[in-house]
Amino acid sequence: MSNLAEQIREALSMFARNGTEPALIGGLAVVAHQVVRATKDVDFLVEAEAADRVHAALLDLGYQCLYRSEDAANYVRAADGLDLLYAHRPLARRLLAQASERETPMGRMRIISVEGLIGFKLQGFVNDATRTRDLDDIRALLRIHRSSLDMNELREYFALFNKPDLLNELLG
Amino acid sequence: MNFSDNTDTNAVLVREAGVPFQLPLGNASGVDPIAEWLSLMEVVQMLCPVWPVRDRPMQGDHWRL
Repeated sequence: MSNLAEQIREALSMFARNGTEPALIGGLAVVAHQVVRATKDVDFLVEAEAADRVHAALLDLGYQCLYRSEDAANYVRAADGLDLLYAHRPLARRLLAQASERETPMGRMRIISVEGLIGFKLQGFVNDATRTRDLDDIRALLRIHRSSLDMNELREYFALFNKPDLLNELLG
Repeated sequence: MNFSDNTDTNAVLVREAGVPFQLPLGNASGVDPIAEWLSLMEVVQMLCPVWPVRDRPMQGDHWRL
């Protein structure tokens, strides 16, 4: 198994030991939703109440914390990166609760919905407009899942970030 | 695997052979996208052993989700 797979398996084991069930978000969640592309983004949505114990556990595993706020944290360990978003607002808590569980080569993993993933990708882009990869991911997810997406939920996210017209633009 | 027969804008991915493909939806195909990704990353990491890691923290003040 690759180093990446080992890293994710180790993280899942750490989350389990700390009694929290995160959901996969970010680039690897995009992969899980059928858009297979190269990425080493290991991003999880974690309940905010678990932030302190997960932080301590990651330091124990040898990660260095680059940044940490009430919303997000970035960790690195040599060439490994791991990012966390904390679910403390109602929308993120709902998305975390509704994440679906899936068997993967690294073990059972909870994965955010496509709609939620698009919402988080939009948040990433709004926070840093140089992250055009986020828009590319949204386009690809919309293209593949368009017929099954909850458009009302998506409109809610685009309105939340004052980008209602961007959804129509991305839908083409 | 459901290979596309052209290179139009519906292609989602260009794999190592330059052949665009999109994984079929659902589980009926038996193709696991994460297993496909692991396979892809084995190749990527052989070609590019040093992968850029994050060198700056997350940006922005718009945390609304």
